[in-house]
Amino acid sequence: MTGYSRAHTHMPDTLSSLRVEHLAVSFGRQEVLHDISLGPLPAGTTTALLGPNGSGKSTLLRALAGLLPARGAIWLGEHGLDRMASRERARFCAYLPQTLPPTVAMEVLEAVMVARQAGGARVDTATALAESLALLDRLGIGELALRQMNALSGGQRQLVGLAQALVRRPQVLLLDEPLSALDLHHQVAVMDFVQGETRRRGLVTVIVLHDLNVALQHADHAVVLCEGRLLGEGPSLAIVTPDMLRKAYDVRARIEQCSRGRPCVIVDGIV
Amino acid sequence: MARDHAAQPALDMAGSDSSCSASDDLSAYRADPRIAERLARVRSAYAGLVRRRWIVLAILAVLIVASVTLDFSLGPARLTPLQLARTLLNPGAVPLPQHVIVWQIRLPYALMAVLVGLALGISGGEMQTILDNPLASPFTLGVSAAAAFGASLAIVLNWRLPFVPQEWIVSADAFGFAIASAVMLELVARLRGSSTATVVLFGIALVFTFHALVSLVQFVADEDSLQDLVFWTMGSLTRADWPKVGVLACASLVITPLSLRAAPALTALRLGEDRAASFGVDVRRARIASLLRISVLASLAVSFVGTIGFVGLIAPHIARRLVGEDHRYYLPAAALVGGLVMSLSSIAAKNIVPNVVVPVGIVTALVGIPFFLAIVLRVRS
Repeated sequence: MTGYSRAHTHMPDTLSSLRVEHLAVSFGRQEVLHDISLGPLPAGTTTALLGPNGSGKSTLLRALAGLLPARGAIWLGEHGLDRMASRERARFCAYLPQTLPPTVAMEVLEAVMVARQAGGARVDTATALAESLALLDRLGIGELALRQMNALSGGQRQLVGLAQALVRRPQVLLLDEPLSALDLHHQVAVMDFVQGETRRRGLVTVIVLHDLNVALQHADHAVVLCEGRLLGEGPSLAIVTPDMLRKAYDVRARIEQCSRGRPCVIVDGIV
Repeated sequence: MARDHAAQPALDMAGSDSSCSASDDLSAYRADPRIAERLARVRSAYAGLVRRRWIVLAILAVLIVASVTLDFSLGPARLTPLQLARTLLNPGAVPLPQHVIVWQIRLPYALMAVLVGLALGISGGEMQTILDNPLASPFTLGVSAAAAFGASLAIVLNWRLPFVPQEWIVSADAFGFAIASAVMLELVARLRGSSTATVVLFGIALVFTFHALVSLVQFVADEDSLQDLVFWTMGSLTRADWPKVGVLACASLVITPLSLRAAPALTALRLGEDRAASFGVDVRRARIASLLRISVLASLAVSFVGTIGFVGLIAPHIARRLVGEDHRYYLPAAALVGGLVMSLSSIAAKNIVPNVVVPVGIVTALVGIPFFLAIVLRVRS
């Protein structure tokens, strides 16, 4: 296969882990994220970002993506992400916002190509087109490539958003509730896909999730936030415990071994 | 059903993981002959799409040339095409009145109409993108109202900026206030924590403020200057002359390429602010640079011809329908549609009422609205 040597050019030079040191974010005078230190989150692992509503998950993700002014340091291997200009940082990080892509008068293919070509990336149109189409195919929406964004359903738009994030070939993939508009089949498919990409390309992936069972099955690590503070961090099985669920969510829950020995969260009620 | 499967062999999402140990999706993907065929098909479909957009732009340009020619040929003086051609080609050999009509009235009016339309069209197009609001335009966000206030000060109170020759006073005052209002919009956009909605609301506040101020000036104005002022606010091409055409043409020549260079960033911005930022677009800078370009172009346009509503608002909507929102095509299309609508309005202004040139600002709305509704309400096939 002639492509094999070229394959390595797609791999990051060094498989770097992500470290967060004393990160704090304020809105006006109010500090909303307090002294968060995380990691190192190794390359090739998926981390679930958990916590109740308003706990600061999205804020932390946006701070990691460099979309919010934050104090503290964020390291990807040797690179100080927090010191980079937005354009340089965008070469390392891809971020999928919680909101769906808007309904614009643009073809799906075009919307993904923009993600590849905007922000000063020197990618010619033919390459951007091939890469975008390949990604849309792999996400199962290849036949929508020439459809208008206006004509898509919410779930389809969410898949386009995922394609926009992945087509940038990031080293750090930050996804804010990527499953919210998806049906069951696509939830599983997307998580399998993201996990596969993460392992294959050696990405550091951080995903905000609400479904603890998805977190248990697909994430290597879990980070739990509550009221802007770090409640726990570690292997997801060690973190998602009845005790933690009580602390973070005020629920009575147990972890059972379900089919094929997979752990699964069963909620008995609220505290 | 069967065809769908043929088109996408083994492309279920996690499917290729095991077969492809390194991350060389693309060459493996391209190596598959069925994929190669499909890629070629999509590529040619996309090329067709791009070609269609170029054709639309070309048609618009041709229509503008035709419209300007018609605009130039029609008028109360009823000159024949032969007379017109002779005056153009051999200006020295025609009677003076004919020379004046062609060179001092017809040509500058026709060109000014197109230039103002181009400026308002592209300004409106950029404004709707950076403020993420389909109602944004220089007219709806106070730039025109500020210009009217500046003009009113010059006309009624004879306020004048220093070192400005007499015939430029009204335009200079109008421009001064228009640019000041645009700068205020920019300052609001720069405020930390201000969203696009803040800017839009502030712009609407500007509209009402300047309208009230104009009314105040009208209230104290004497009869003659009141008439001048009302006429100014209607927007008219009769104020066009060669120096003004030249200034607006130069400004457009400098600013339009800058807008086109920013097109990819603006397209990304259309997909959402956070998304654009995560693509590496410096959103704040892109937005302020764009506001600067818009304010110069739109302020010049309205200060030369008075209040022209609607063109800056509708041209982008029509452009969006025609070529989509890739700004490499959308911005030129918005400019061309603006120019075409203005030129058509100018023709109509001269011909609706026999022997009277109706102020073009009135016509843009009357011509623009049906045109606009026809395109917006058209069900997309």
